[in-house]
This record gives sequence, C-alpha cells and structure tokens, in this order.
Amino acid sequence: MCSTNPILVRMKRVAMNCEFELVLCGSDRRYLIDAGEEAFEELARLEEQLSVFIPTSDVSDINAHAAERPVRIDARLFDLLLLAKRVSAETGGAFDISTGPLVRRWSAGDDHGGFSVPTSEEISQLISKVGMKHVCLDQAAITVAFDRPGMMINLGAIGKGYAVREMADLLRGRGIDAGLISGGTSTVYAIGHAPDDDAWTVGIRNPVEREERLTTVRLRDRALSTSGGHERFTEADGVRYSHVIDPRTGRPADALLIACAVTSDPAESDALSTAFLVLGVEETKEYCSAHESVGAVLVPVPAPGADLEIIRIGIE
Amino acid sequence: MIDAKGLTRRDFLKGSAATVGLGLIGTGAVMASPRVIGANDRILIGVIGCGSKGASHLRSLVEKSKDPKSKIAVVAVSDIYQPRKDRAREISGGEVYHDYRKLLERNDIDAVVIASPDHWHARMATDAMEAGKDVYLEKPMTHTWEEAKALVGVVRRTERVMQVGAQSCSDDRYWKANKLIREGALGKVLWTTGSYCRNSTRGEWNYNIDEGANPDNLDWKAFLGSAPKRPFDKERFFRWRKYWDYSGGIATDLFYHELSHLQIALGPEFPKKVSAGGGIYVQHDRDVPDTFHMIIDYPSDHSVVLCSSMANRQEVPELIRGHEATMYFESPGIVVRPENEFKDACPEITVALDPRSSHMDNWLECIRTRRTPTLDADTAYKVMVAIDLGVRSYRKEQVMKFDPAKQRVI
Amino acid sequence: MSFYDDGALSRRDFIKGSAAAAVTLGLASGASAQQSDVKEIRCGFIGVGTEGSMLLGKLVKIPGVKVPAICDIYEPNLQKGLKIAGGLVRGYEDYRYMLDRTDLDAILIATPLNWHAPMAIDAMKSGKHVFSEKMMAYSIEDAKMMLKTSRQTGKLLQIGHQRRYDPLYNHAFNLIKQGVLGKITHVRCMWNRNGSWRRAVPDPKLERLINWRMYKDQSQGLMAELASHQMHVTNWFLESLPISVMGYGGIDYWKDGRETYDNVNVLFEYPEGVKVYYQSLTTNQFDNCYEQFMGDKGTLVITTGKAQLFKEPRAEDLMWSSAAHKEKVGGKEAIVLDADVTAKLKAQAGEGEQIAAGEKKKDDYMAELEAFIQCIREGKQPDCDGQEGLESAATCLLANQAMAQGKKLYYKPEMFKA
Repeated sequence: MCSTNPILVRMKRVAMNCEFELVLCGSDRRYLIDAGEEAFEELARLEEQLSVFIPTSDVSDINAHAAERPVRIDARLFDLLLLAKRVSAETGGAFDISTGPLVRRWSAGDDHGGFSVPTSEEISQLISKVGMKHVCLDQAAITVAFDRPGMMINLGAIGKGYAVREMADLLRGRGIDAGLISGGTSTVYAIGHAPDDDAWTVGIRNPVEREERLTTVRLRDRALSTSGGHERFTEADGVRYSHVIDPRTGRPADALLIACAVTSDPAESDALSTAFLVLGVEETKEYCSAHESVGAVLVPVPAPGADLEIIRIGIE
Repeated sequence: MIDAKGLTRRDFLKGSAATVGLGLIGTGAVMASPRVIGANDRILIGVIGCGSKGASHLRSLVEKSKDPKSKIAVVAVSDIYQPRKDRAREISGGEVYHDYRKLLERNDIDAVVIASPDHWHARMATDAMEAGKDVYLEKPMTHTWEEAKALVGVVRRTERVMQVGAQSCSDDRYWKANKLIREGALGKVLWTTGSYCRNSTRGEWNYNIDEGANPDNLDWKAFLGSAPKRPFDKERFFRWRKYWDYSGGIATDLFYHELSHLQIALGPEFPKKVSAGGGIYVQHDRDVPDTFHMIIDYPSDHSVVLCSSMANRQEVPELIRGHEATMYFESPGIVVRPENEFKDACPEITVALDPRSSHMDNWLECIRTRRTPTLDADTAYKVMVAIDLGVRSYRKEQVMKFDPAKQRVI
Repeated sequence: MSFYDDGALSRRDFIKGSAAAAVTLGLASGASAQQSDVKEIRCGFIGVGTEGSMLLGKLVKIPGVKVPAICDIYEPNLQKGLKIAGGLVRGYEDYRYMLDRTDLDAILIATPLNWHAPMAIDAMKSGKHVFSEKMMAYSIEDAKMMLKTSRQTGKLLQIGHQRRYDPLYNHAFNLIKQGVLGKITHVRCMWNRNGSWRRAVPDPKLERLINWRMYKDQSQGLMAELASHQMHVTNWFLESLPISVMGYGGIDYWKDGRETYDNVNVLFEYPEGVKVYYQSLTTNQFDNCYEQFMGDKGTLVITTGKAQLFKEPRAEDLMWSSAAHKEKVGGKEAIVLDADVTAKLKAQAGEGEQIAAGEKKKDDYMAELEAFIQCIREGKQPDCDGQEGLESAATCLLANQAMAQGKKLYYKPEMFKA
C-alpha cells in the first residue's frame, strides 16, 4: 500500500478546542481525502457526544442527571469511562475526570486578577466533594451514576485520545495502513510506519525553546500523548500555580515540565500522560515497571539556569 | 424490486466481500464476545468433555454438519485426557483444547456442548454463558440443587439458550400428556410411577479402565476441579459415576431423565418432601447404591415414586394415576383408561403423537430464534431439587423438606 | 501442569470481556430501582453505517431499551455497531436470521434505500414493529406495500423524518396555524453543500456497497436523501399535497461515474396556487440548509436548531413580539423562535390559545426514537407514520421522474394512498 510511490495527504480540522491533523499514506489521493473526511465526520460526532459546552451532549446529560438517577449511555462511551476509572485506580487517583470544582478553584480569577491561593481547609473541603469513587459504573445496565450531588465529569484529559483512537479504527477499516493522527499537541497515534522507515518518528517540542525539538520517539501502531503544566497557570505574587492539579493533594502538580506516555491505546496514553505529570518521576517509573506495555518520557522542572533533563522510561 | 428471498447483499457483491483488517485498539471491556453470525450463518459449536457421551454427541453433530442445510459446524473440542483428545480430533477435525476456558475465549464459537462429569457442570456452563455462548448441558443439570439455582440466574442474566440434555423431554408424548392432564382427562392426579432398571454381572458403570492412563496424559487436578482432593486414581476417573464426589448415582444419572419428562407431563413444580431408600446390595465396589427408590411429594397434592435397581431389570410401569383415570404410555402414543367408578363419565382415550424436533435440533433452532428450549433452566432446576434431595435423603437417612416459596431446604 | 489451580479460580481473570456480571463500583443512590420499572423493549438494528451507528448510539440511551441484535453486511460497520451497543448483543450479516428471533419487539432500519421495503415488510410479517430511516422507500409501490403490511399485521411503522418530533418545528407549526405568516403563497427549500458525497472505498469490489447513494438501483439521489425531509416539512406545514412538479437535474460537476444527480432544481405546484421551489447542490454551500415559508404577513426561516420569523411591513405587530428575542439578519430584524417559551411570552401571547410549554433541549433524533419506543409501549400510532412517509416519498419520487423525463408531471391521488 505505502510502498510504491506513496502519496501523503495532510488534512486538518478544528475540534475539541484544538487542531486535529491527519497524515495519510496511500496510493490514491482522492481515496485518502475521502477517508480523511469520513474520519473528521466521526470526530464531529464524537465532539457532540463529549463536549461539556453542548447541552445535548452525553456528558452534559450525565452531569445534569447522574446524581438523580443512573444515566444510560452507549457502550463505547461507557468503555471509555471504564478506562478512566481503571487508570484512576491504577495511578492511585493521580488521574481523575471529576476534579472540575478543584481545578476551577485554582484557576479562578485568572482573567481578572482576583485569584487567591486556596487554604488547606478549602482544599480538603473540595477534595471530599470530588473523586472517581463517587462515579458508579453499572456494567450490566451500561449506566453512570453519581452517588452525591454536585459532581461533574469532564473528559478533556482523555477525550482527544479517544477521538484519535476512534478515527484510527475508522481509517484502518477503510484500508489505510500507514498514517499519523493527532489531536492538538495532546495525542498522536501512528498507524503502521512511515513510507521509508519501519516506524513513524514523532517529535516532542521543547516547551521552553518552542522552535526546537526536545527529543523524538519512534512509533508504530502506538500512541504518544503529552501533558504539560507550563502552558496554563495562574500567577500570583511571582509564583506560578499550574492548572494541572494533583487530585490526591488538591494542589498543583509542579514536579514535571512535561510528561509523555506511550502505549498502544491513544485514549489510555492521553489519560496516562496527565497522570504521569501528577505522579512525577519515581512513581511514573514504578507504574511503567508494573505495566510492561507502557512507556514514558519525562522532563522535570529544571533548577534555574540548568539544562532540561529528558528521562526516557521503557522507550529506546 | 421487492424480492427479499434468495437475494442477499452478498449476491450482488459478486464474490467474497473484502473484510478489511481492523486492528481495533482499546479495551472493549463491556462486551461479552458478541459473536457475529456470519458467512453462511452457520452455528459454530465446541464440545467440552469428550468421554463416551461427549464423543457420541460429537459424532452425531459432525454427521449433521455434513448436510449443508443444517448450517452448523463443529470447530473445537476440549478434554483433559490425551487419548480422548486424539479421538475427538479424529472425529471432528476441530481444534483441540486442554483448557476449556481457552475454547470459550474464541469469539467465533457460538455454542458449546458440555459433557463433563456432573461436578463440573455448573462451573463450565456458567463460564460458557458468561463468555456469550449458548449451552447444551448434559444431564443432570448440576451436581447439587444449589448449583442449579445459581445457574438459573446465570441463564437469565446472560440471556443464553441453555438446553439440559434429558432427551426424553423432546418426546411428544409427555407434552400431549401435559395437555390432557390440564384438560382434566385424569381428574385429580394422585401418583405417578417411573423406573429405570438394569442388570449386569460386571456391575453398573464399571467402564473400561485404560491401563495407559497416567498423570502425564491425564490432568488429574483438572478432573477433580472443586471435588475433594484425592491422589491420582484411574478407577475414579473412568468410573466417576460410582462416587459421591462426582455423581449422585442412580438419582442423577438415571432418575434425572425420568423425572424431567414426568415433570413436563405433570407440570414443573418444586418438591415439598423427598425421601429415599435402598442400598448397596450386590455391587459392593462403590459409594452409590445399586438399588435405590425415591418418593417425592408435591405441593399440589400428588406424589411421584421412582424405583430402580442396577441388579435386576424388571421395571415398574410408567403410569400417571388420577382419581378418575390412569394414563398409560403405550405405543403409538398415550392411552387414558378410566377407573371403573368413572367409566360412564369418561371414555377411553387414545392420543397419537406428533413429530417433534430432536432434543439437540430443538436446541439448535432455539439458538437462532432465541426461544426457550424444551428442557429449560427453570424446569431443569425444579427437577434438580427433587433429585438432589433424594440423594441427600438417602445419605442422611432422613426425610428432606423443601420450601418452594423461599427455595430453601427446611 | 494442570490448568486448575488450587484455591480460587477467578473467572474474571481469563474470560475476556465478561460483561454480564454487574460491576457496581461505589454505591449508587437508591435510584437503580427505576431501571426495572419500565417495560423492556428489545430492538434489532439493521444497517449501522454512518447514519445507523449514530442512531444506535442514541437508541441505547433510552431507559428500558435493549439492543440484542445488530445486522450489517459490511464488517467494519458491524464491529462498530457491536461496540456501541455493548452488552448481550449478537451480530448478523443476513437480516433474515435476525428476524427468525422471537425475542425482538421492534426492528430499526438504516440501510440503503432499496432495502427499506423488503426488510420492513419481512420484519412486520415476523411480528415486529418497524422504524425505517427516511426516505420511506425506493418506489411508490414499495412504500405502499410497507403501509399495507403495517395495516395487515397491526405492527407499527414509523418513518425517520425527525423534524416531525423537533419541538422547534412543532412550535413553528403552531404559530403558522395561529396565523403569524398570514397566507403562505410560496415556499423555498435549500440543502446546499460543497462536497462529492463520496466515501473512501478500500477495495473496488466495495464501490457499490459503500457509495450506494450514487447508483440508481439503490438510491433515489438527493431527492430521497435530503429533499424528503424538507418536502415532508412542506407537506406538513402547508397541510396539503402537491399537484404537479417539474425540474432540472443533472450530473454536471462530479462526473465520477455516479448515476444520481449532483444537483436538483425542482418546482412544485400546490393547491391554491402555492409554489414550492426546491434546490439541492453539491458544489456550493452558501445557502446551507433551511426551509423558508413566505406568507403575506411574515416569513419563517427554519432549520434544525434555529428558526426565525420576519415580519412583513404590512402586517400588524405580532402581539408578543416585544418580549421575544430578536436579532438582525442581513439588515432585517428577525424574531428568534425558541421552543423553550418563557412564562413571560406565554403571558403576553394573549391570543387565547396557550402556546405549548417549552420542552427540554433535546436533539430531534433522540426525540423521534423516544417517540417510537413510547408508541410501542402504549400501542398507539406514531406521528410520522407510514402515511406521512408515503406522502413525502411520492412527492420526491415523482420529482425525480419529472427531471428524468424533462416534463411537468401530475400527482394522482392514488399515489398518496395505499
């Protein structure tokens, strides 16, 4: 397919607040474009399903009603929530899709300068009100329920990976066996390998020198997801408070500049990259040694003036 | 334009539809291997347990599958004893598994026949249904009545088609009998007799023991499963029906058949009282009695008496006795003869039988239509309660009582 | 070397995808009893392509609905459908085996057009209610047979013109009946997109399967796929059926071997001199999609999710317009219709007739599916039933013929009656 005179088609579409890109490899340009269009249609449909900004989305439905009664959803979305729950459990709560109120508190006053650092009391209050433990998944009925009011879930940290995965499935189903699918800078999935190589080489951007490539990772039928705490933060009294909150402590996760996860499922890598950012180096190493098929690339926050250190775990 | 019969989308595709490789990523944790009824829409079958009964099912299914109209295929077999694995492979050409669970992992298999020893029935049937397979479960349904109760729950929850293999239930005579009884042909039903008798010099269930069987070609631990741990014993493997650990003897092996079809005739019910008697009178090489009788009393005021000896062939006739008439099972069908006292009110009736699908065919049909099969889980469970209480009554030397409402032994 | 370990042997460890056990992690707030109060409706779904899989995803959300059977002859679609349905679902490639099942209450059909009738008829004859995607059928004869079968078998038949269930459309219809547009003299409907409509085909053998909309033996082209919705709305809002039709269609741009028109331009005549213009393009999307009802007092421009009312200069002020939300469109002031009518508007309406209370925001696909299920539960006829489907289908099918023959064709009453 991608061997003789390969054609590469590049297509972009904005969705889920970022730019999704397809790089598809094949021998018929028209065909690649048609397949790409279908993938983007699927993307639009998934956004309708997941967006908290769309009142008729499944997630909005859950947030509006799951505290009153179990809400039925389709099995594919349920599966995603099961994944979220599993990653949450396996990372000791470092990944949690229900931490909305906590995150909002740390970003409150962002635009108007009215921010104040939350007190310990406030934090423990907020922590007690959120958490995956309050999200009940009934596998037989395929429903979601909250066991307390005021809970909200947001699939932002796993949704792009999910979309990438579903688009990849669709494209494979259309016979595409080589390509790259990415959702913003959050997740990229490699189908097969590049035309003249036995893998796709994907770069991770240097967060400080944004024109530079920090390092590369080679992927073949695998996903790479990146999470960074340096892009969104609140500044107060000269201190930067990242918007990436550690659900376990209720405070910003600040050990790592960037965390990347590499695994075969883009939705999982999306979730794990967020978890790794919170877990830090040691705990990420522990996680990866317990999960053979998962790799990581971590960049700790450097000491002032020091170079960036790149830690690769389970990836050559 | 409308001509659905005989025209499928496949026809106009002219040639095999290319199925493109999927490489699905992601956990599909929610589904129980949903099988696609696909090419030729054949039902793909596995047989678990290829001893004498299993091999017999295997042979007949393979034979059936040769007729393309049957739309079935046997694709996998499983056993824990090497010579039986070899034999099963020879008969069917299917893939051979040592661990039945690996067979169940296959997404392409629709349905399995389970012909393992009794104490494995509940476990294998549960695993099979939870893996999305329909089940033909050899009789007795289970080893204990509690297992049967749990299995009913599994059937309901997994919405599988489970047929319990007491073939006589597919005999039309018992269905006709039920209709007659409900219409009042016998008046009040009082008691029913059935029996199952055999004789031999060798001793019942003393099947051949392969001298070559040893721990290397026979997975003893797997045979035992949840049964009490005992050292390797060929006698127990080949002749498991003689031992309480794996079987209920006459009750589970033979009375299960009898009571199943009688319950169909009488209307399935939980027993309220069961007592059993008999003993090891002649065949002293076993746990289970060679002569064994049970009396079952039912809440709707009638009794069933089952008699058996493995050391004398003289049967007790199968009769359903009502206050006004008695039902005889005589070829070609059923004959109902009124009691003298009621000769004027009711005539003698002879009822001919209608053809019915065989027990196995009924299962296969129900797999497609999702109808309830002939010996369904609920009925089979009710039978199991009576049968197992008979075993317990004998072993404890006590009358067993059961609460049908609470489904508990009192 | 035994596969049987001593001690506990966890079933969940080795049986992949063991779905049936309820895994309740955490304690749900006593509301789980609600699930079992509702009568279970079991549905089989045929055709889980783009449209079908979207509908399926919504169907499984309705309380009490189970989908134990899905059918598609294209494997990737079938696998996706199975993923979406989850639970105890079985896949079929031949729908007739699905219809053999006696445990299904209803069948939903989202297959290529030419299969709607045979499948729907077979389904109703096998004792199941039917929901068929639009357009109802490939030919007027097919549509009539579906309707007749529904009557003969007593099974419900609903056609997927989802606007019929859209609160916004229903709200607009009520306003029209109250006279806000005055006398409607003209209607204009557009559905213009820019794109080839073509889908990627991994293997040339699959061309006619995947791009079925381009082939005359399976598809009635744009009139069926798009116009049928809007002509259904037109018939509904005008409360009448067309008298004659003429138009031009052609394969003028996408000359890629397709057999169905890539643009249609059709003029209908309705009773009392009402004219309706319909256009659907695949080369320019400026006008997008809408239905425009033009009356002597006002104009209604409506599409899914948005409706606007423009007052004609010689109309009196609409009594409630002062409170309504307005916006400027192309220099003209429009009242934006909202099905969620506030109490204030109701109070100001003063026309005597209660304006229907707002319904919660819901998408119209969800609304039509919920209505279908509810009709099954209550045993009542669907709003968008076979008759409405037939009327819309006949409207569009004769238009195709008129374009093909290059003539003005007249509708006969028997085209709309079965």
